[in-house]
Amino acid sequence: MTGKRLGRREFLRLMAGAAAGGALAACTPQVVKETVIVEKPVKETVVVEKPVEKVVKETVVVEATRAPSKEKVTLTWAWWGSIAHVKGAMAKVRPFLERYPHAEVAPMYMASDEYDTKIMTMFAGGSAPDVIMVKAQFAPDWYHRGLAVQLDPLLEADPNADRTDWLESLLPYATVDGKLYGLPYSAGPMIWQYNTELAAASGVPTPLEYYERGEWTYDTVIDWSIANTRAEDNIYAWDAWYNEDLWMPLAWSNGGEFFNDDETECLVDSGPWVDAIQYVVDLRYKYEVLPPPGGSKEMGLNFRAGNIAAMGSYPQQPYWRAISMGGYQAVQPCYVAAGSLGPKCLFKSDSHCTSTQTQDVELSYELTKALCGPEGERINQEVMGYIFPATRQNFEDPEYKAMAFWDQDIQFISNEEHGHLVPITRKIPWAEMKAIWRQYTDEAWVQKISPAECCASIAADINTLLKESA
Amino acid sequence: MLFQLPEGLAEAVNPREDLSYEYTLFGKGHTKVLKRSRIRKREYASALLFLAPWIIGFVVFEIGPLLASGTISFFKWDLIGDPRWAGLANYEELFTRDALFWQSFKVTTIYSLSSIPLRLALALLVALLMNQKVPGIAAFRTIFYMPSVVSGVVMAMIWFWVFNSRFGILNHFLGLMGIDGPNWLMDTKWVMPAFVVMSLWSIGAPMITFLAGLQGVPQELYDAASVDGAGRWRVFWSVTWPLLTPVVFFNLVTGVISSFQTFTASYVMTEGGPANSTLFYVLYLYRNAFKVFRMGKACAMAWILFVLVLVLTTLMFKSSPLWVFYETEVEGRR
Repeated sequence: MTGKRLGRREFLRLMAGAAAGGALAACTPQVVKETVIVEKPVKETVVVEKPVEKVVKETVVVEATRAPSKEKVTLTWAWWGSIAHVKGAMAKVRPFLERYPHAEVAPMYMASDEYDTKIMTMFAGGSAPDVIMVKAQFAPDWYHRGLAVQLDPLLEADPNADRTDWLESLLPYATVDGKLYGLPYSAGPMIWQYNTELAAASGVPTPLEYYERGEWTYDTVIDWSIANTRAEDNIYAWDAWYNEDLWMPLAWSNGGEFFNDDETECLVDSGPWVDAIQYVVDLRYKYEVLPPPGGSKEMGLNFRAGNIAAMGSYPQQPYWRAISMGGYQAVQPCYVAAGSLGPKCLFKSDSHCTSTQTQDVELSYELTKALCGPEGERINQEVMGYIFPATRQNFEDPEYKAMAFWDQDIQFISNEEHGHLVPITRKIPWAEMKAIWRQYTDEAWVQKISPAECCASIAADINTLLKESA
Repeated sequence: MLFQLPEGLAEAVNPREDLSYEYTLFGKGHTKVLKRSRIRKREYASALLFLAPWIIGFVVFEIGPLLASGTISFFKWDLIGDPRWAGLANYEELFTRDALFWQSFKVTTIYSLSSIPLRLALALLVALLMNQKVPGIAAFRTIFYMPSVVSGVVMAMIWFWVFNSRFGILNHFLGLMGIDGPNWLMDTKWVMPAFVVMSLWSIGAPMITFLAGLQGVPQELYDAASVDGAGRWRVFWSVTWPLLTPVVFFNLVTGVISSFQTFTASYVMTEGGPANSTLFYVLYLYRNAFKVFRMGKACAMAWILFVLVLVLTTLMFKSSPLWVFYETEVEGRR
């Protein structure tokens, strides 16, 4: 090195060059090479002996890549919910962690509203979680797009589990083209809940009393609603009817079908659907038992404040009271009113899946099973005080049937004839269908268009999408 | 081909004796290219080196995505699967078959036409007040500016409750005056006025620029006007306003650009309702991109917005000689 001093300009030039080099390095794709000791793919011959009803011994060849037992694996698990759910959720993971000491589980819980957006963008970015909770309405679309590992081979190779462990009526939510991609996680029928104090003060039978007499119909709903509305005191019978979870059952229980059998035509442009929307519009403008249109943000607040007598929801009664309703006790579930088909109850089931971008298929499958199996359900009951039975084992256990939110629901979710709450089709993303029916029902709720025009527009737009998807 | 100019000519063309120039002639056009000296070359190299981090970031994070979105707008792509070539189908669908596209454009235009003049007028009025020499004026300036530093989501949630028809303070105060307040956010007639009122809360940024402009008006002009006996309105119209027009122009351009990008308030407060009466353009773009995953259509919307804002900005710049007065101009305002 010479005795030449580093001038100010030279120094600044060097710093700029270093900064430019740093910026370039930061912009280049991270190519991380890891040396991973992986066992060679193992071909196993597994003889699965089925219980009595299945006498065929099946030989299943399973080819899987396993991480060595000592290598630490951190599985990310994405689910929607709130911080209040974490305690129960991580308790369900504990037995899995004991069985697989080299595994860690990193939960990614997020708000419900943007859950689908976040998961899809993570898939697009190649950073999808290992295990993902899938909402019922997204399941057909996501599973059809190949976001989840098919579970049939894994289940068939598993001596400790079988697809019959889960309620048959719930499997369609996790099945596409006959292939199982997820395990049912929770099941819940759509119900209504009412404020017992307001209902007692109204002077008419409560919805539950009407139901037990077999008189809970759409006509008696109107009678009950009028009796429970005091507009001068800002008290209304219902709120947030604009949510499709509430008006769609009205159509279904009157025989309305969303699609024809082969899902080539949307049938919303028909009597039961027009009647359902007309019914809601009449509740607002003819009988005035609904407040002016309000967003669902206010629903829980209005119910807790005693401003509305009833609302629709899912029967997570103890949880609902404890968490969503701030411990509010004057809540009693009842069924959606019976239409011409009788008390047809609609239900849905979320599921969990192993993502195709998982780092370890088998370990992720084991975690999925731990979250969705009977053991996980029982832990949830012990820790959180509620259970959503999706497994046959817990479903048939009298002790857990009694604890399952409301035992009368059991008969509905076990019977597929009662119908699925969300229109299940893999041909059009649910979000796109929802955008369409929201667009037109929003206009119907403010009487910008008639119910008939609303249904005709929904059917027309969805049929256009069906044609494009064909 | 290099050659030396005759000495006298070289000196006439190149007055700087410390620099030497070499000239080349290329082809029939006799294009002369000056080959700069070593010092000038080094200076350019240093400048580029210092600018490199920004240039790299700009290219990678701005130009790259810009070009990518332009390309994607000609495809149908759902973010997960393979993009499919669609040509102009996305644009055609937007212009001819998508009623919500025109609804979102209408909502955004109405909002812009309503809120921009009101915001500018109110910001100017407040700036005139803040330009007074009274004790504690700095505190008042801070108070008026503070809403501008509140995040959009927080602001939206605050106003969501202010406008609540049953529990909101606005209807409460209206009730005290005997007025039955409307259901601001759920009534198609009142929701847009509610959004415009909300936009007036965050006038801090234009207010500050107006204040800076006001304080840049030379005092001697006011003194001269006072000597000539001009009243307050005359002083404002003949002295203050002309010198403030550059700031007005700046605030107008930035106001138009930002109003066409309104998103947060409608996303948080109304989700585009009721009945799509607050379905702003960018909200609809977001829905297409991240709710129904129609990336091609969303990118087409983004480019349409870009062209629209570019056209509007160009028109404003073209109109500026008619009404914007710069002190450095030789000719005054017409």
